[in-house]
Amino acid sequence: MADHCPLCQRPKKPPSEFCAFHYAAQTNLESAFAVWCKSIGPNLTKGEYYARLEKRDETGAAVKALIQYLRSKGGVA
Amino acid sequence: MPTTLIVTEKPDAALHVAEALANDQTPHRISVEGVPFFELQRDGGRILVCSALGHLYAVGAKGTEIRSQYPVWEFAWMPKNLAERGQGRQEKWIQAISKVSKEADRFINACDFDIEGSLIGYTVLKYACGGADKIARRMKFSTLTVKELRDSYLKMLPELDLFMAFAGMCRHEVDWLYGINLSRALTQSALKASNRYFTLSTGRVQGPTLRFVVDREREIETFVPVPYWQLRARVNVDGDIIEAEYEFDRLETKAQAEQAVSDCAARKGVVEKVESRTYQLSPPIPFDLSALQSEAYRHFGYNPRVSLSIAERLYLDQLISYPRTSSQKLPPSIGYEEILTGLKQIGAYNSGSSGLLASGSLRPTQGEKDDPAHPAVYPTGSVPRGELDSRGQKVFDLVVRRFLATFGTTATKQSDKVTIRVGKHAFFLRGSRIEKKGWIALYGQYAKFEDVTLPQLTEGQEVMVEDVSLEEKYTQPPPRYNPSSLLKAMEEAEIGTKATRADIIETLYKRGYVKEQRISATPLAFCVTEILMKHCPKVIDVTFTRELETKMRQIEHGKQIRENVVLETVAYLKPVIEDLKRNEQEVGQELTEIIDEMRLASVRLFVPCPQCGSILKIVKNPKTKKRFIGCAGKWTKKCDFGLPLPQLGALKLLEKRCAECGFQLIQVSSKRRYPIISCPKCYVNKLRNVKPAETVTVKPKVTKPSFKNRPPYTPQASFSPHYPT
Repeated sequence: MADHCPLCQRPKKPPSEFCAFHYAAQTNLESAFAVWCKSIGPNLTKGEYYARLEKRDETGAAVKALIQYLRSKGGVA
Repeated sequence: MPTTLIVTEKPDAALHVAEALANDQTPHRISVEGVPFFELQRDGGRILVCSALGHLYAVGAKGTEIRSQYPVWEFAWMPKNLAERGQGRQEKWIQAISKVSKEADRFINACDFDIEGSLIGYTVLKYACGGADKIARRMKFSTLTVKELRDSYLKMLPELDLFMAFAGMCRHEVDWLYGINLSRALTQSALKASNRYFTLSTGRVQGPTLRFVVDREREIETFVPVPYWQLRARVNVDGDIIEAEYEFDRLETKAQAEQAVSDCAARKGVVEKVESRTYQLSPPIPFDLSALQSEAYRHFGYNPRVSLSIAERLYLDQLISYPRTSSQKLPPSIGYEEILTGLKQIGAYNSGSSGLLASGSLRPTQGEKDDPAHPAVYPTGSVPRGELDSRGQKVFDLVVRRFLATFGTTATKQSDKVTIRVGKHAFFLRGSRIEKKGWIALYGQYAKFEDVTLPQLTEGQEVMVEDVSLEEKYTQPPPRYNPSSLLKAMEEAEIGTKATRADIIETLYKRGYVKEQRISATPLAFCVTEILMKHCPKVIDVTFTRELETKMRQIEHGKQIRENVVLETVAYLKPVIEDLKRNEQEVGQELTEIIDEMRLASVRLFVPCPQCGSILKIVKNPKTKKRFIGCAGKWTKKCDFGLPLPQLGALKLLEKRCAECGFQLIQVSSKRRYPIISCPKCYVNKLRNVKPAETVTVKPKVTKPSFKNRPPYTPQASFSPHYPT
C-alpha cells in the first residue's frame, strides 16, 4: 500500500507520506513545536513534546495517532 | 347562490378562517368523503373552507419509475401519494377538494403567506380545482386572529402571488433533481458493492451543511494546543480578599510568567487609577425565526426543529404571529396598544404591559432585516384558551417577554475598573452593576446580569498582595457546532430557507452523518464528503449553492425565469451523475467499508467477555427476535456468557464505563421519555442478589395484570442466550 497513508489508508498527498488529513496534522504538529520551545524553553525534546501533547484533551485525535505512528517508527526519544 | 372555496394550509387554520368569516354564526362542519370542510353564509353567498395537509402535490419522475434507477431528468408535478410512499391520506383529500370545487365559482388561497404556502395553494387550485389558479384571489395575513383574518378577507389580493409560487416550484424541482440523483447514486453504489441497503443522501443544501461539520471536525482532529500562562493576584483590601486579573490576558512564555510572579511576591500594591464608565444597553430587536430558535436553544435546550414546531403550534392557537419570518421589524399596523391591552389580561405580563401602556409612547426597537411577507414574531395579545404544555408555555413566555422588552427603555450599566500597580506590573479589579433596569426588567429571566460590587478604593491607597498564582493553560480547538450554531452558520452562508434549515440538520442525524448535541462528524460523513469533493465539488461548495439560492430568490421578484434555473441545474448535474455512475464500483467500495465499520462499531462492546476475554456483541435471537449481549467465544471457547438487554427503545453503546463494575454502559431512548443510561451487568447482578422475602401466607388475590409499575425491563429468570447459527 505504498500509495496510501499508513495511518488511514486514504491516498497519499505527495510529497507527504500521509493523506491530506494526516498531512495537516503533521504540519500543525511540526509548526507548533517551535512555539512550544519558545514557551517552555529551548531544552524541550521532541519526546517530551509528544508526551505532553498525548496527555492533553485538546490535542486532536489525528495528531495523537500521528504521534503514536512516529513513535512506532522510532527516532523519537 | 355564489359559492366560494377557500383553501387553507392546515385543518386548524381552516377552522379559524371559517370562524372569523362566519361573523356571529357557527360554521357547519361537513364531511366530504371523510374530509372535513367548513360551510358558512356571508354577504348572501356560501363559503366553503377546506384545508390541505401541507403539500398535496409533489415533484415525481415522469412515467413509470423504478425507484433504484438513476439518473432521472424527466419530472412532473403529481399527487403526493404518487410521488412519495406513505402519503395515502393525500389522495382522499385531493378527491374531496376536487369534488367540492365543482360547486364553486370563486376561489381563494388562504395558505400561509410565504413560498411554501403560496405553492401549496397554487398546486391545489391548479391541479385539484381544474385550473382555478387563473381566477383565484389571495388572502394575506400574519396571525390567525379574527380581526386580521376578516381584514385580509376584505382587502384580499386580486390574484395569486404567482412569482412566489413559481419560486417555490423551482426550489422543489431543483432539490428533487439534486436529491434523487445524488442520493440514489450514493445509495445504489453502496448497495451494489455490499448487497445491503443503507439509505444515504445528499442535496443542494445538505451537502454544504455537512461540509461545515466535517471541516470543523478536521480542525478539531488536527489541532495542536499551545501552552500559555495566566496570572492572578489575591489582594487584601481592608481585610477583604479580592481576586485581581493581570494586565495581560495571557503570557506566552513560562520564563516571562515566572518572572512576573517573583516580581510581585509579597509586595504592596498601590491603587493607581479608579475608573467608572456608564454604558447604555439598548433593548433587544424583535425575533426573526432564527433568533427565536437560537434563544430557545440557549435558554431551554430545544433544538431548532423542536422550537419551530412549538412556535407553529402557538401560531395555530392564535397566540403568536407567523413564525417563519426573516423580519426583525414590528410595524405599527400590528396594533401595539391592542396587543399590550390583551397581554395585560395575563397575570405574569400585567405589570410590564401596564407600564408600557402608561408610558404614553410605544416605539419598539427595530432590527435591520425585513421580510415583505411577514413582520417579526410577536404575541397576538390573545389569552391562551387552556393551559399550555410546558414547552409551549416556555416559548410563549419567551416571545411575549421579548416583545415587551423591545418597547423598553435603554438600560444603563456602570462598569468600574481599579488599577493596582505592583512594581512594574499592573492588576485590575473589575466590577459592574445595572444602574437603570429599563428593558432588562421586561425581559425577565432571559436577560441575566450579575452585579459585582467593588469596595471603596481611592487613588494612592496601599493594598497588600496576598499571593500571586500562575496557571498553565492551553489554547483550545474551535468549538463543535450545536444545532443552533449550525443553523446560524447556514443562515450566514445564505443557504437553505428559514423553513428548511432545521429539517436539514435533522436529516444529517438520521443518516448517521453526525452525532451528539455538540455535533461531531462520523466516518461516514467524512467518506461522503470526500466522494463528493472528488466527483462533484460544486455540490458541497457554499458559493455555488448560494448563487443558486440567489437565482431562486430572483424568481420571487420576477427577475429570473424558473425554467432557466431548472435547465442550468440539469446541465450541471448531468456530467456529475454520469461520472458517479462510471465510478459506481469505486464509490460503493469506499462507502461499504465505512458503513460496515460503523455497523460493527454500533454493536461491538469495547469491554471483553469477563469469562473468556472474547469480543462481546449485541446480537439478536433469530427465533424470538430478542436482543442481548452475547460472547463471540460461544463456538470457539464454549463460553456461555450473556446479558439481557431492554427490548424496547433505541439502544446505543456508550463510550463510558460503569463506576461500580467497569462494564460498558448502554443508553435506551424511547419517544417522549428521557434516555435511560444503565449498566447491563450491574442490573443483572442486582436481580440475582435480591434476598428472598420472608414467607408470609396471604390469601391469593386475583387482579388484572398492571403495567403501571413495571420496571424498565425484566430479564428472564433463567436466561440462556440463543445464538444465531
